[in-house]
Amino acid sequence: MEFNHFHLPLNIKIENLSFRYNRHSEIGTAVLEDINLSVRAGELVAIIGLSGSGKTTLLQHMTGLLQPDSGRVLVDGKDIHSKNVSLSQLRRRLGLVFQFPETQLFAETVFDDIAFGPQNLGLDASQVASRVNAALLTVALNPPDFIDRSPFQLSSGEKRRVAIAGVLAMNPECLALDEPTAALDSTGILAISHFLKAFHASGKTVILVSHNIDLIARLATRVVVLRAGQLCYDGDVETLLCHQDILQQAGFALPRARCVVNYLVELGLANKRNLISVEQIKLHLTEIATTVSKQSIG
Amino acid sequence: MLQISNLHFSYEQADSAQSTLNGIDLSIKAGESVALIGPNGAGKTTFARCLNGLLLPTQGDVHINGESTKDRTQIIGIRQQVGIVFQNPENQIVSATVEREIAFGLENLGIERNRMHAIVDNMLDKFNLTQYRQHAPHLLSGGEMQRLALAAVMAMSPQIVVFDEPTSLLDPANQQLVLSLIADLHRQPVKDDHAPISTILITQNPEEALHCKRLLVLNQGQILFDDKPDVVFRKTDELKNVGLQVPAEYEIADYLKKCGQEKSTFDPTDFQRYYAESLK
Ligand SMILES: Nc1ncnc2c1ncn2[C@@H]1O[C@H](COP(=O)(O)OP(=O)(O)OP(=O)(O)O)[C@@H](O)[C@H]1O
Ligand SMILES: [Mg+2]
Repeated sequence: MEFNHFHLPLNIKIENLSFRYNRHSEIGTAVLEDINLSVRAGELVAIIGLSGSGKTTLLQHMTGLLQPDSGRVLVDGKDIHSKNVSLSQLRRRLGLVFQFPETQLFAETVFDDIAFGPQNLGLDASQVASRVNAALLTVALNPPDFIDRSPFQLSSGEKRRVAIAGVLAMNPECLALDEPTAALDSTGILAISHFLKAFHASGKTVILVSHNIDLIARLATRVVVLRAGQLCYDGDVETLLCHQDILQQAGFALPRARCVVNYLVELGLANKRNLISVEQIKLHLTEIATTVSKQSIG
Repeated sequence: MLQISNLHFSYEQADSAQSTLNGIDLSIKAGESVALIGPNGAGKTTFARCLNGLLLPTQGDVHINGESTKDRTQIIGIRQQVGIVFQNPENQIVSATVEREIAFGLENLGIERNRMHAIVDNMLDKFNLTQYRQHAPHLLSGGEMQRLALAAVMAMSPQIVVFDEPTSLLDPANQQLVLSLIADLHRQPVKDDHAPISTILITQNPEEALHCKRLLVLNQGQILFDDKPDVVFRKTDELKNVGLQVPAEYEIADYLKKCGQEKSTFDPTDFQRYYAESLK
């Protein structure tokens, strides 16, 4: 069975990758220069950087949509462009959520759009229907309200959710997402972030390109910063947040929650700075309150 | 200048039970800077499309300077007075070069050639696009394209500019750029008989709404709140109920209050001053 060597999580290794769009005279096109990056199975890696820094181009190399000018992309040790690797098999394992959801939508109804992938996997009608249903629920859309509608007559946030659902319905073993939360409301962001957390917790690999520093701070086990086609940081989130210069080069400011923490510390209401989300702050404030009340009792 | 009364809109025929916009009453004065937030599918984009007559009310009216959008003889004037900058500028750019894109609307208005060239030059200069004047718009970066979309809208000297999530596809540096372009519109010296410009910023990012003087919250086609951002964001629970997040400082202030620390020294507006200082 061909599927046999595909039940292991994915390791992606990029070796000395260089790439330049050969449509000459283009301005602002991303160029990648001698990138070395290894994503180990089970990691949740965020890629950040200014627009034009090459994030999308890098993601497209990882998923085999682009072929490097030089260097290699290895998935579980095999060069994905070598003859004995099937790119269509790879794309089946590795779900890619595109930057512009419109590019991913095509069918007449939301149902058909999401069902397309599972149908191609050879699932029967009831299995397909349950995949569609589950995928819609994951992106916090109520299936009966949406399955019969045209994906082109949805609001921008609804379109993005449907595009994401289409990828999730394939039950990929690894996910690469390009700006998955752009245009989503808080409910949508929360739904995606819960899903990614669970997906990652089950040992699967996630590569996340995002401008949403709060999302990254909450989810990523590792952050990679691209600047003008080169890697300029590769490490954990906390260290990055302590390096304002690199953060700024990537175009980011500190997450607002972190600034709130700093202010609370200045007011003497908190005594820990390395918090990154509102939830963590609340927890910390509660801890302080309990210690104080214990002390006053004791 | 903008008067909306009992605005209903439905994409389906009138018989459908629930319409997309469900009775909006609202007026916006010259010079106001308004933010509009609301969940996905609340009707924000639909609302924007109703303001310049791209969509017509199925019930109620939208008046721009006294003219109804339903009066088709006024439509050119209304399109000139209400400009819209969309989330994805690629979808709204029609011309082959940057300068032609800026000239496009002016040509349609039948503006005389010399004046048109003067306006185009002025817009290229103002939005820092002169070096790209002969470039094809689709080769610009996201931030540049958003600048071009705004330049093309501003060339028409509109009275109202609606921004439909102009920052959601941009990196943080370009997000800041677009926000400062919007702020600049309010700092412009007002010309002779022109009223100061009004802006409506549609956004999913509550922090961006803090840059505006007035905040509208739209939910299921109805205006839920209409007040200063600082007043609205203090209603943390009510916003959460419709799935909207408040900026971190409001959530923490609310939490402290719920923990019985009513007299806490932490206040969102103090934090915002501290935050603005820290960015300098
Ligand atoms: N062309 C269309 N035909 C039919 N229904 C539509 C069309 N465009 C939008 N809708 C529906 O109308 C409702 C309001 O959509 P609208 O685009 O105004 O929402 P929005 O507040 O802008 O949402 P978002 O935050 O996702 O951009 C949604 O339920 C949407 O599915
Ligand atoms: Mg919209």
